[in-house]
Amino acid sequence: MDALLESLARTVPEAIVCLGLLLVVVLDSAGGAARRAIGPISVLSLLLALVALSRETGAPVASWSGMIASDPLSALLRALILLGTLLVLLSFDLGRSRELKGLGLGEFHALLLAVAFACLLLASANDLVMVYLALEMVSIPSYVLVAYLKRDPRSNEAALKYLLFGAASSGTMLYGLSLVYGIAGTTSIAGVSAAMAGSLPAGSSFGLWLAALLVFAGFGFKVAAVPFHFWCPDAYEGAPTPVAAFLSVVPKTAGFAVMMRFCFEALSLQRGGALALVEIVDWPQLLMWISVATMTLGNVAALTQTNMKRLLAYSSIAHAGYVMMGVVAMSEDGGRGVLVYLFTYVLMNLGAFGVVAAIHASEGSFDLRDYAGLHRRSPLLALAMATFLLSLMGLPPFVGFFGKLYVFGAIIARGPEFYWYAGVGAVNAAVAAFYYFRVMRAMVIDPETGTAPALSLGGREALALCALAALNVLPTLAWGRVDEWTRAAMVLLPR
Amino acid sequence: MSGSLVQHALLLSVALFTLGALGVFMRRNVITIFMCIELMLNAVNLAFVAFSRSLGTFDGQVLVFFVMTVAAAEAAVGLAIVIALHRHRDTLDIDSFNLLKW
Amino acid sequence: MPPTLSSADFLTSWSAVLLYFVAAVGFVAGGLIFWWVIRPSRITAEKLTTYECGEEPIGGAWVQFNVRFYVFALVFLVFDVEAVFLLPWAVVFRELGAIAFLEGLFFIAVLAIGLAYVWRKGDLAWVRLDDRVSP
Repeated sequence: MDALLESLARTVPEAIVCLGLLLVVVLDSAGGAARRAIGPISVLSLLLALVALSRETGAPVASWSGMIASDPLSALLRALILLGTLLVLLSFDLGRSRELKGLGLGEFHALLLAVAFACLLLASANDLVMVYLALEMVSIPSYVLVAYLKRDPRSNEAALKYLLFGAASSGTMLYGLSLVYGIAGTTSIAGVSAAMAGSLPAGSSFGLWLAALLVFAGFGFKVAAVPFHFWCPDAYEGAPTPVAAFLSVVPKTAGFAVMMRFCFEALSLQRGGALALVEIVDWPQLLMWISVATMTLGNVAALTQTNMKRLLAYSSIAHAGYVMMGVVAMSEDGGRGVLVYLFTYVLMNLGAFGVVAAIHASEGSFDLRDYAGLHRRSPLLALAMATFLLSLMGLPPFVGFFGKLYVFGAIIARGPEFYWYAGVGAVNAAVAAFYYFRVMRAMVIDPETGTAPALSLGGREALALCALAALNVLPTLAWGRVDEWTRAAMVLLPR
Repeated sequence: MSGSLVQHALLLSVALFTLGALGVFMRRNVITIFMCIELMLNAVNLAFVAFSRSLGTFDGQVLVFFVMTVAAAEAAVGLAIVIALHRHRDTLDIDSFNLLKW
Repeated sequence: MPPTLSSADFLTSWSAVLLYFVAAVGFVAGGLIFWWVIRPSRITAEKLTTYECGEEPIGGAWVQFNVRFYVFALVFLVFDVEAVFLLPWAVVFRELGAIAFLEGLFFIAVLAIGLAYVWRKGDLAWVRLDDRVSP
């Protein structure tokens, strides 16, 4: 009994989100006036979870018989997941959305909370069993969310492609996990790490290489890395815009969380506060090639897109490539880079999707050509979009700059043999500027076809977009604080 | 030890996994693709049980339980999506689902 | 440690099953082949129709099934498979005591909420309200 209470005390935020989720399902089944409480209850449970998380003590412990690790790193990542979900619920006016018209919102909230709950578990998974279970718990409600527009064949088709890719890649990852289990003899990540430090049976090198390759297929699918990215543009285009925004930030954060834990804890040795490579498998090499392919293909494919959702999908693929630089760096600085990048990415990408959703709510179009003359029709939207795009580009006064600064810095600190990798990243950032500027040119310079009327913007949307735009600039003023948080989260403890 | 038995089981699991993966890429019917994915998962189950037996720990066998239930949940969602798609299109050929360009 | 067997032991211990399998297949196949050899073959149209307990068959066997069958099957599939977790739970129930009881209660409560949801949304009724409206 004590063990159960002890474990529950370590996972209060998860428990709150889980109860909120169950409550939403009950309210939705009850029907009638009870349904009006669903939105507030969802927001409230996320807020309470954030509060509970902030009261957690930093000491690292394992709970639920070793399944869950509570440490400063998982605390920061869980805060990011809760923040991302909260921002999605607050900044999209679901009632005004053209796509969701006529569909109940009860399931929408329930599924969103279910994904958030699973992401929380994934971010603190401390056992291969938990890694697999949490990953699938993220995936399965996501498939349903993508298929949410059940009368729209595009939504169904997107969900089918997402599901087929997801099921195949999670099966592949599972094979990798079985190899890890076979070689290390245990499913706990700490146990795997201990086994790596000891002497491994002969022939483990090939097995571990294969295992790393197969496991990265699963993580790569979750963060949309090449060559496991095919689902991403289709899923974002077919899914309702709030869902696309949510999928582009929250599960991606959780995917990087588990990738970081697996790479840094299971496949590395921690020696005196620094990470050392397990000699027999050079996973950073593998991940580096995935990262190079991801950022290059994402950026090049984004150049020719005219559908805003597809453009943002390819841009999010490219960003996953940059974030991976931080993991490849395999150092405290690299991990800090991943955290900073994910934090800023939540702010800028949700903002960009918010503008896309607001324009669709009044125009009914995702086409870039319909963005012409936006600066006249809605100066506020154009200004907000410009902020998000400049932030995505990584220009200095905006928070997006810091993400790039940290990951590039961490890679360069690894030594001259990684300079070319940083160079590829820099060239990619320049290519990315092209298509972000193309959107801005459409908003400001492109001639309008006909005289389109001014855009009507809901009060809630306007407020949310202003707040998000402010969040893309303001943290710069108090950057020391953010730096301090990431520094506290990424402490490598000598064992 | 039961070395050779475990080796046989692992070889069988590799063969099943490869067949499943090939089927996922080469088959055109959505239901058949689902079945190939199930084949991959069962290959994984076999590998886990084999490793569990050779290591003498039960972790692997516990995971098999979870894999089976998750596979059922995934199949349920997948078939629901297939039913929804079938209402719009009278086919289950993966190549005909081309509203979104690949 | 589980009991271990060598490959040779493995084959001997299962040889009875193999023999049984061969005998079963042989019995069925032998019967079929024997009657196929000695029976006369006089085919009429009536003999070639499908045997439906003496009734005259109406229509083809390839009819479109009501889509509700699939929905029921999906709901059944999920609840049925989740029940597998109750077996290991029951095995260790006595050793774990109160914790096992509480955790099992929570597990079943979550399933019950799911069932209540399906029921309230009308998916347990054969004819659903919004299916009658749209074909």
